[in-house]
Amino acid sequence: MPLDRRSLRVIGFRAITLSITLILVLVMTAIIVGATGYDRVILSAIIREEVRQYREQLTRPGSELPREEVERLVAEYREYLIRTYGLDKPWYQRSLSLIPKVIVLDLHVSQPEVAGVVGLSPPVKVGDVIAVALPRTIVMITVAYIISALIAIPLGPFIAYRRGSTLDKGVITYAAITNAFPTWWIAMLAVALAGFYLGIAPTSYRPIAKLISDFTSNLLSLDVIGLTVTFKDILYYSYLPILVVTFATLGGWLYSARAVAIRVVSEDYVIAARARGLSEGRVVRRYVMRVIAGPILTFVILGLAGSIGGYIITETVFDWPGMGLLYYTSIATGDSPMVLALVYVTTLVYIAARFILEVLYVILDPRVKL
Amino acid sequence: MLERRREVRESLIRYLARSLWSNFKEVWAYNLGKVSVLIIGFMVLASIYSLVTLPPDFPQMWRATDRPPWTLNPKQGYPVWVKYLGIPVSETVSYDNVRLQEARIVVPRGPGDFPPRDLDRILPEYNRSLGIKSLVPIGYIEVYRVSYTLTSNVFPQDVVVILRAKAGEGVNLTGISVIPMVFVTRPDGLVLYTFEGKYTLERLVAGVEVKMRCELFATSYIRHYGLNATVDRVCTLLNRPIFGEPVDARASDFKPVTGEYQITLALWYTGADPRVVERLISKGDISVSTSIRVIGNSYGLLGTDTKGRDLFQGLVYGFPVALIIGFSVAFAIVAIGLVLGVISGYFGGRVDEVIQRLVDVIVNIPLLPLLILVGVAIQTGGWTGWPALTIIMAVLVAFSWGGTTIIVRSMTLSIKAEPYVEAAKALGASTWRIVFRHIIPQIVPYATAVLVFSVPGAIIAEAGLSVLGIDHGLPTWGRILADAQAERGVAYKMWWWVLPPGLMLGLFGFAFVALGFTLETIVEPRLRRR
Amino acid sequence: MRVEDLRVWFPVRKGIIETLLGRVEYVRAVDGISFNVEKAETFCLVGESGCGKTTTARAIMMLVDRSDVKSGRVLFRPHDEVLEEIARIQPNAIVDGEYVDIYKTRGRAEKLIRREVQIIFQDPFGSINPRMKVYDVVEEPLVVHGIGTREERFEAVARALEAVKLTPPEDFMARYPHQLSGGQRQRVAIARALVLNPSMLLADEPVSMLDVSIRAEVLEVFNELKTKRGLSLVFITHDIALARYICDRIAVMYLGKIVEVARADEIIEKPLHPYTRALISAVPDVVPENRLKLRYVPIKGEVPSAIRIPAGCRFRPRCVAYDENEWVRGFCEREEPGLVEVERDHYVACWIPIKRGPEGSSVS
Ligand SMILES: Nc1ncnc2c1ncn2[C@@H]1O[C@H](COP(=O)(O)OP(=O)(O)OP(=O)(O)O)[C@@H](O)[C@H]1O
Ligand SMILES: [Mg+2]
Repeated sequence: MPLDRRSLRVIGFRAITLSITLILVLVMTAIIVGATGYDRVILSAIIREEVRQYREQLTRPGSELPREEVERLVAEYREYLIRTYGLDKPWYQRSLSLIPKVIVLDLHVSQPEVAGVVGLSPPVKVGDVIAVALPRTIVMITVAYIISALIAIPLGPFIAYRRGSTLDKGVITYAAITNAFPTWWIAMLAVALAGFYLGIAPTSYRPIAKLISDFTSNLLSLDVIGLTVTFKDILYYSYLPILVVTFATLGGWLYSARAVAIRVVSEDYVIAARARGLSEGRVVRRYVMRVIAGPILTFVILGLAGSIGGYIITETVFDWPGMGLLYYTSIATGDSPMVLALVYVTTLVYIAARFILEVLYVILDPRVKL
Repeated sequence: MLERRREVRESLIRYLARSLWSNFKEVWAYNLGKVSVLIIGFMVLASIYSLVTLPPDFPQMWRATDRPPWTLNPKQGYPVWVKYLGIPVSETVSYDNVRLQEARIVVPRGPGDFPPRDLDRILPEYNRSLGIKSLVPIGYIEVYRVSYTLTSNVFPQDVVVILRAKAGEGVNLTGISVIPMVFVTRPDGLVLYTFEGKYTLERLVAGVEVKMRCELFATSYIRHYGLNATVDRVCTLLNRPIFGEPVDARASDFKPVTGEYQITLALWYTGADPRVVERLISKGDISVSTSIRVIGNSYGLLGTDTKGRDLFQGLVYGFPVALIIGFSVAFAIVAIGLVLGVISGYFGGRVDEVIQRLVDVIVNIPLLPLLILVGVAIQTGGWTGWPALTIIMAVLVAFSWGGTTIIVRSMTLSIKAEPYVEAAKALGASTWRIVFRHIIPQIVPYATAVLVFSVPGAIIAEAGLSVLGIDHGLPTWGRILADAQAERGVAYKMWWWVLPPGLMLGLFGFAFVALGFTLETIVEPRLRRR
Repeated sequence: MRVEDLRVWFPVRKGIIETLLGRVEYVRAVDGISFNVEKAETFCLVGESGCGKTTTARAIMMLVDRSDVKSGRVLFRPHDEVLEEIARIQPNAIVDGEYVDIYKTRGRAEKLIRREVQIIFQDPFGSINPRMKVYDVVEEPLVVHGIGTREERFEAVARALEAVKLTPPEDFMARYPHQLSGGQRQRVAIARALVLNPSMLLADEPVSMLDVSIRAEVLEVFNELKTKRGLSLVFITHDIALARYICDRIAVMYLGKIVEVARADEIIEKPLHPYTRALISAVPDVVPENRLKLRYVPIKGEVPSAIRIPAGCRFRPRCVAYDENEWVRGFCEREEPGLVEVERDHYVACWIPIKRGPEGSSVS
């Protein structure tokens, strides 16, 4: 569908708002880390890493510099870095210098445990670590969301036609309960029950990292037997997280699908179709599902956008080596550059997803006003 | 006439009380409302209970895991009531200020009377016990005895004796020391000499915890059972040889001996003439209070964590914290939303434009990453306790008022167009009067519903942050779950650790959402079902 | 009171982009009307729904956005003391030494005027704050203007409620609006307007939302007020029969303009404007058997939108006289007729009587 000028203006307006938001978040981040003195920690970590590299360079076999000379050069370089990063200046001058580095993710992981989450070891850039962890998070949640959507879309109208029945009440109760409890706590219970008490699921999900890389290498070498084995293992390691996320989200989705469907089934044309003698199933397929698929899909995208941030706690509980565990490990080990980078990437992904959604809205419904 | 006037214009307090009461009655009329009111009432009572029973420095106490009372509790202890479910547990029993059973001066009655026969009279355990006794008590001796019954085949975790001395004003304590000796007399008749040490009275004033030692009796224990095992083997887990007997000659394991145990504590005062000591004690110038605690593997209503902390106390402390955090954040969000929304809606123009754009930015910011950053930053900055929590709450508020502002603004716009607002204007009412008399009273019921809805959000966010490893140091439900998460290997097998805080979080969330729904139904008649 | 060439145009809301491009259209709710109301007179504004009656009243009460008032002024003659006070604090609002231009009043002066002019709204259900008790509603004007002690205010409220026959007043004071019937509410609104003892009262269809039985009650209240208090009353209604019953003079409005003004019996018996005639013939007959007869209402078509007002005479597309009188069509299409005094105290805005004289026009 070609976009008219109006829609383009709307989209442009949104883009500006969201860019401003992103910049604002960055500035706020700088203020937060600056005013609390946290940037000192971050910058020290950066300087330490750079000094280490410099020393390595100087003492590389072949270079014949005497020890004292190396020490002098290193000390000089450290002084230089301290001045460049403004560690000798007040925070408000210093922390702004951090922003460009964060934007291009030019930071190094400072703690080996953090790199270890994705099976790497330092020296490694934060971007590389996130690049491995982010897809793992997205994959787990996308699968769960697709399952939820596949259940909720056909079931929504079915429930809507049985308003007030036991099934209906059950769905509402289910939605209310899963809404009240944090998903990560449900995950705790699931790990405790299935993993520790019953032993039918893993208790730690870190091996999934190796399995996924095995899977891809098997795929590349077309090793069918290896492929099925790793696939089975992957299934074993991922079924519980996916089940939990599906269980936790399904209630809300069923509820909304039901709500949308109730509105649709009481529309005149749907009632008329029923009156014409069309069966419930046909009416649902022909009219209702088509209408409710839209809102539900919107939900999927919006949910995915939020999920990057929202499920990090759940991931931590599973010890799932994605963004959540990355967050947890870098907080626990005090890997400050990584914390900063994670906050930035999560915000970026969220805002980008929101933007995509806004664009979709405009394309799907050109009447959307500013 | 005047009296009638007073009837018509009742006092503000009575008006508020009456409208509160009538609102309550209305809420009570709904099932959902009833449930929520009951849950919230329960939570308020629990908060009061916790404020009354827990010491004001409970948070510091909770963090000090290496100090009593936590060190005196079982580690990973079950809740006491699981015994009714048929799960075998050993009880934790505390004998506080044990009554003195006997006291006398024991001295040899002449040459050859060594060890003195008098000793046998007040402390027969001394001669009967297995163990290496390096000292023979001669002097003033006090004997305390308690009995503990082991009913199930589960080892208690430990026995601790706590001594605390008190001295009268100006009493010269120098020189006087106390040697405690502890004997365990088992149901099978075996007596174990488990402790011997020496403390000056000055030290005892600060309080001393006396723990059993295995080496004292291990060698004779091996000989007694004819074991083919080393002292190290026998002493791997101290509670086992004390409360059990070896299953085989290699002492590969122990099985508990059930029945009545007697724990005997003898306090032997040295360093001064026994008669002087006796006089000081009888005058009350010196007194040593003794408590004996048998640490089973169950404790309290909700058991303990791996550090021995009473999870029931932690859970109970969570109630007031949750209510305070929840209400203050919700109140702040609604207050900001109300003020900005009304300003934006009523005055319009440039102010409106600015507020609207601000809201646009605010609602697009993902909250959790920012909260994490702030949490990590303040943790690095060394903030803990309420100050840390207040900062987190402030950030939570700063990025959550957008939604309320939007709702209040649109409500203000529609109320502003109501004929009665126009009527008030026609009367000459000032802007302030219109806003406060005619607009805000219409919004307040909705704002209340919004407030109630946003109460659980803050506490759930706090819990999430805790689980991610941000430690503000207050015992909250989230903090307890975070501790469990940090020790997931053991903690996840302890349902009494993982289940109750999560249930409370869920209950808390459910109650306020249910109340919010009810209030919404009441203030929005269109939602009311027939 | 004198209203001169009042125009109220509401901009039609469009998207931001249209606004930026400056393409603004207006609803010309009131499009240049003038009239005057004498002391102790009851003046009626009659016209069909949407012709701008309420907007006129709101404009007089300074309730429309001042930027929407495109021209005209409203001059009001208050009590002498009030006039003196306003002359002191805001001399620029005084016109001809005895009138106050209410749009020039600000702050205290505005408040003084508001005390003198009161309005009763069309909708008794919306115009009372549902969260206030009757007592607080009626007391509010006194509080706003800082009148009396609490005890005096109580007396005043009781008197006002008695005046509108809500007796005994104490029974009603503690009630909330939802505990009142529609007629009672409208009477509360009237009491609120009366409690300040205004010299001018605007009543915007005070009985249109009420059913017939209650209507009589409320009208009775008005009739009594007129005779007892001697206040000037602007009575707005779409019911010309009712207007005749209550008014001294009647002005007929069509699409934001006054098309005919005259004494009540005169306008009913000798209507000059084709629209007035249509209004009169649309009144159902009181005699039951006549009601069943199909009556001929001399009008055609629908009310045009107030955004696109026809050029020339705005009534032309619906005018039967225009169809019948070929000779006048040129005028009708070219120019809008002004309000002309065709007979003594009888003004009309129609080319036919203006050009031909009143006698000839009333024939067709
Ligand atoms: N605030 C406003 N903004 C835009 N248009 C308005 C506004 N108020 C009134 N109008 C329009 O102005 C015109 C006149 O409205 P008004 O309320 O004065 O009519 P009325 O004669 O009182 O009708 P009724 O007998 O139905 O009460 C109508 O077309 C209406 O849609
Ligand atoms: Mg009107």
